[in-house]
Amino acid sequence: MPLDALTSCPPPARGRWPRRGRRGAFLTSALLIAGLLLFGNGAYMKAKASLSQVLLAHAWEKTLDGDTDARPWPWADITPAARLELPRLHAGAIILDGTSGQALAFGPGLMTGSAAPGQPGLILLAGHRDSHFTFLQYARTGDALTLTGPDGVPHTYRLTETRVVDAAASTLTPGGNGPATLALTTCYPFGVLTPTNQRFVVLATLDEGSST
Amino acid sequence: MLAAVRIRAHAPLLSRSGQWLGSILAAAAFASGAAWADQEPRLVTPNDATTGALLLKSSTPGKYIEAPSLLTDVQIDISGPIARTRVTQRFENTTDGWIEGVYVFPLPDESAVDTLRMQIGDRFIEGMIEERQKAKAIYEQAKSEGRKTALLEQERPNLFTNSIANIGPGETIIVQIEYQETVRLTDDQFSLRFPMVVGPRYNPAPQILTASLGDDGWAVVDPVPDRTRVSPPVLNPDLGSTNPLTLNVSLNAGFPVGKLDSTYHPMDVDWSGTGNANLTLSAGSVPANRDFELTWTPKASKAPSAALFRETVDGEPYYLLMVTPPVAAQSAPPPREITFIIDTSGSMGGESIRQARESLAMAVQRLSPGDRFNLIEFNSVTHALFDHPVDATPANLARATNWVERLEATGGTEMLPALREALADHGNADGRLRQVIFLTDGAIGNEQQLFETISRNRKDARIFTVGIGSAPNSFFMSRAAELGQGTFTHIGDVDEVAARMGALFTKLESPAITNVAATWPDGSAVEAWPSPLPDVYAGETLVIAAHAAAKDGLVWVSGLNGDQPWKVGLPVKQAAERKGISKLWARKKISSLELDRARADTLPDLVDDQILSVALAHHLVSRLTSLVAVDVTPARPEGALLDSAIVPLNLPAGWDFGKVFGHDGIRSDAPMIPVDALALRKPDPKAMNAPMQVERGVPLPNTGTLSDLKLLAGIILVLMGFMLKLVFRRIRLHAA
Repeated sequence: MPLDALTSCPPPARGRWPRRGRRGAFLTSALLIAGLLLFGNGAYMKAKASLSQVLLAHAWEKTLDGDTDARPWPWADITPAARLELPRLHAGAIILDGTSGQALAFGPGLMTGSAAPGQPGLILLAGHRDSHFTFLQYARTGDALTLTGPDGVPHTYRLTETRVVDAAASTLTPGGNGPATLALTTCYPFGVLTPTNQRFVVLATLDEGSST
Repeated sequence: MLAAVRIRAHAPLLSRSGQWLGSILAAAAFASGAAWADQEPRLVTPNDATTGALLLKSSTPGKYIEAPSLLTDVQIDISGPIARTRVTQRFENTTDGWIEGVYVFPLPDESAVDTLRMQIGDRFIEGMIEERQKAKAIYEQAKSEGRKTALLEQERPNLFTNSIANIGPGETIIVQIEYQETVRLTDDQFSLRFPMVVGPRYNPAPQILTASLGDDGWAVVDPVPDRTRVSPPVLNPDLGSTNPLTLNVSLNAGFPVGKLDSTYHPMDVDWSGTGNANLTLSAGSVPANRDFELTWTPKASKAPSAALFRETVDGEPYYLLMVTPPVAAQSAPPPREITFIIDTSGSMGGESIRQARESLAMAVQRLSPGDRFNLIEFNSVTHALFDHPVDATPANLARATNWVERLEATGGTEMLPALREALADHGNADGRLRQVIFLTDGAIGNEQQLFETISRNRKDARIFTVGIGSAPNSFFMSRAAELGQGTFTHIGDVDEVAARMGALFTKLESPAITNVAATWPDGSAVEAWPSPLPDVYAGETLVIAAHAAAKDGLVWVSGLNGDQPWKVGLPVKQAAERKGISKLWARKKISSLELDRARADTLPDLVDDQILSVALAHHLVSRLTSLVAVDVTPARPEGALLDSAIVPLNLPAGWDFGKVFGHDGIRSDAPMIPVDALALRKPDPKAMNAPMQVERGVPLPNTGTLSDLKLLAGIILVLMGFMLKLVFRRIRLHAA
């Protein structure tokens, strides 16, 4: 018996893993690599969202100086369209022109057809719930939201309502000639890890007194 | 504030289920919600609607009442190659107020709309053609004076708006529109379509707004500026419709008819000769929710390959010439030099790039050994796979397939260099047919510059555009294709890639008749449209409308069938007389001029002057002209609105809403709907119903990324890896 045991399980050669150990090592490294890749990819998306905002802030300064085609980086196909701030939460973002393709990865987007800041009609902004628009979950009725257009004039909107809607039946259409309204939308619920069909909508109306 | 309450009826722009003609009737309503608060339970929300009902926006945001119905009758008279259609719309005002109805509805692409008629009692009022702004002013003036008036405007060459003002309480108004078109002849089969549904490219409405505002050559002033106050239909497509349509066709084919078929609607046919028939819908009336199509073929195996018709207006002859070139005898497709341009800018990200890759991979597979090809990718920079077009050898094809698989969407949209590169003549075409296939979503703003490049650089190259994604810039792509004498294919869904690209390749591989020209008898002045004449693809028919002085001699149509010259002569004298050819000529001239306008070397104002004068002379609705009809006698007493405004709010019990509310209502006995329910009041800036104007609204983008999930999963995997490592180490230590 002991002899049998010895022959069937030879001592490991130096510098080499035993059979089981080798498989284990492979599994371990695979898990580590997959984990790091996933983590890296997730972190990259976060980093892209933050870094692009820094670059966009520079482009925004140029836009305010009258450059109508200020690009955050030379090969970008996005341009800044407005600046949004929620002073109470010290939160804000540079808003991009359009919500197409990959634009939202870099910043919240201004939906095509939206009214101009301070003008009658609906302005619709969409942003990612896990980066630029995370702060929306803490917004309260009565909050002041400041939206600055390319002309540099800030317009204050007062938060009147929040609601949760289905993405396909939002009832929101940019533009029109109704009261000057700002709508911010992001995925809902917050903190959920997978995409959903629900959207969180924040509605704010122009605070006539405060804008010039 | 004295203006009548307006019911803005807005057709299928927004309608996925696609009712036409007033399928959306909506009140332009901002109203005090307070008065309605008590009644609220009896209002409906779109989700409550259990029938295919038309709902009017009520004064309570998100709540609706049912709209009055619209009846439509369509009479189509086909005489040889020409069809004249009369659309009669019957609008019932079941409210107790004075209202304005506005419908947006589709008509065939090349329809020449020349008649608007309004029936009041037993009187008919004919519409006059006027410059668009003037027509609008006339309409507004009459409206404010309380007179009945109707206005017909063009939004797109195939989309029209009809407004009718001052329809009294309980009154019915009848409006007739007439247009004509040429029937289609493809693959020996004649066909005619009557659209009841607006295609998805007009959906949703905000796209129209955007298009209207662009400096895209249309420069259309939005005819419904308060479009956003119009609610979309809230129809349940499964359950009938409240918008019935009757349709009658009288066919005079001009030859013995073999097969006569209504594609989607069963019809009763009453023959009165081998080429004459009367058709009526078997069902009597149908819901207007799918296009009507009639096809007919001659008893002889082949359709006539050439035809010439004439109309003489004020001593001036107008001709309509139809020629079906012979299908080339050669079986192998002609050798080609194909350049594919693919847009890999950031806007193509996601689904679009997948569609594009799949389309391209298919295209590469279909190349034949004799072809030359190249692939050009562009985003911020242009990158061509090969320096110049190469032979479609297995090695090159494998390289291309591999390249296509690795395409990723990122960066900007610098289209111009790619287009220049594709159109560049590398001098090794060796008489091959040069084809450029352009896959893009067209998310660009410099259309004019691109059009200019196309018309200047393309030489003999044909440009075929393939629109990718759910909302491509179809203006850019269809114009680019027209300028490039190719076609525009739209792929909106991955499932469509195979079918659409397959159809395009068939077209590309079949020999087309090129260098098409029409020569009129010597010395006769002629103005023929379209100009220049397009290539004719296999099975298609060339249609030319001409204003020519010639009354005798032969008109020659020639072209190159592959490398074989092809020519056919038609004796002018034997042209058959048909009515309406002058209008078709004018319509073709307008479309050609609109196309010219897109070219950079033309002055838009000069082209506009030409369009205006031809549209006015031929009484046609165009981008610059509208039809307006005004009744001479004022109908609405002054101040009528003020009286009705104080009618206590009564819910529309009965008014055909029975079904919505769960009990039967009989319209004729039903009380009138109080006007206030729909009233247009001073907008209350505090009211939050502003964003509620359009019930479904735009689809909101997906704003949740997987980054958090990835971070979390990544951490978990790393932890598991470390734990495993520890476990294994312990096992090893044990073993040792």
